[in-house]
Amino acid sequence: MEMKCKPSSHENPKAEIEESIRFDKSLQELKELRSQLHNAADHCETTFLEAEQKKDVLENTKEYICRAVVTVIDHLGNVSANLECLLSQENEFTDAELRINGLKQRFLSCEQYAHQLALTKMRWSENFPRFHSRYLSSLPTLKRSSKEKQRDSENQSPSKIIDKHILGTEEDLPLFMYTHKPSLSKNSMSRSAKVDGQTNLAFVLPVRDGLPVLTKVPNPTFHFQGTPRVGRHRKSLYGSDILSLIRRTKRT
Amino acid sequence: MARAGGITNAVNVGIAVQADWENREFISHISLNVRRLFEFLVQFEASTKSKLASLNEKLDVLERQLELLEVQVGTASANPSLFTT
Repeated sequence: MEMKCKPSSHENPKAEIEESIRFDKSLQELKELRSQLHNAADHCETTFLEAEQKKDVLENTKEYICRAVVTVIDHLGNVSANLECLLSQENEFTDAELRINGLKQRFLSCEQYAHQLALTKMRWSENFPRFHSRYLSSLPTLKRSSKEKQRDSENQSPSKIIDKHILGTEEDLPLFMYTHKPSLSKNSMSRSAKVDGQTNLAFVLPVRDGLPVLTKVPNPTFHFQGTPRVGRHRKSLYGSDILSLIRRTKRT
Repeated sequence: MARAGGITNAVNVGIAVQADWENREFISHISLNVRRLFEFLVQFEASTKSKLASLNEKLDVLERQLELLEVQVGTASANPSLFTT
């Protein structure tokens, strides 16, 4: 009976299979020994009852019992050692745990990468078109001819007109280069691009006290200014009706 | 002759008693060894059960971690727009 427990058997699957086969074999031998002991006990009993020299039979039985106990203990030790060897091999569990932890780490890194990608989508792009110096103009050079002003006013979109209404007297403000400001909306960018008619043009905004004035959003309820007048007119009509009714009652 | 027969009987009884005591001693030895064997089997069962329980717990933990990873990977693969630039 061999009782070899190789600690490095987890590296070789063939050795592990051999160990499991050995354990099954020893367990099967222990089960067979049980039936053999039962048969031996029956044989000893019949021999003792039939024999004339019972002392010799008794001595033979004692000797057999001693050997049988030793054999049973040996078999049990073999089975327990094999089972212990199989159960003590927890290296595979640690390997599996390490692999799972590695997968977890990989997934976390992928998740961080995805979050980073999402953040870069939301962030202000560094490749935003820069201003050229020729597009920058100071305050005295803003004086243009009346034809140019008329042409510009014709090309301007209605939203730009609304902005002018909102800005009021800010038409004479100097234009400066507007550097990276993530708070700028896409509408303002597209508006400037439409006005200039070029895609690579700089984005010029009038600046006062260091803050861009284009951050003021035009009022979206601009088109509903006519509605309150109708209500007011109706109220006045109602009021005149009531007054005329009162006058009629006074006359009567 | 009677005295000799009585002595022989006494010797035979003594031999029988000694043999009986020897048999009793043998039986006690065997029973003691069987008890030790039983005790070893009980201890072995307990230790094996505890080891199997710990292994089962480890397997459960690994299985849960694997299931969690599967779900996370499935969720991530179901939304591929996260990884598109």
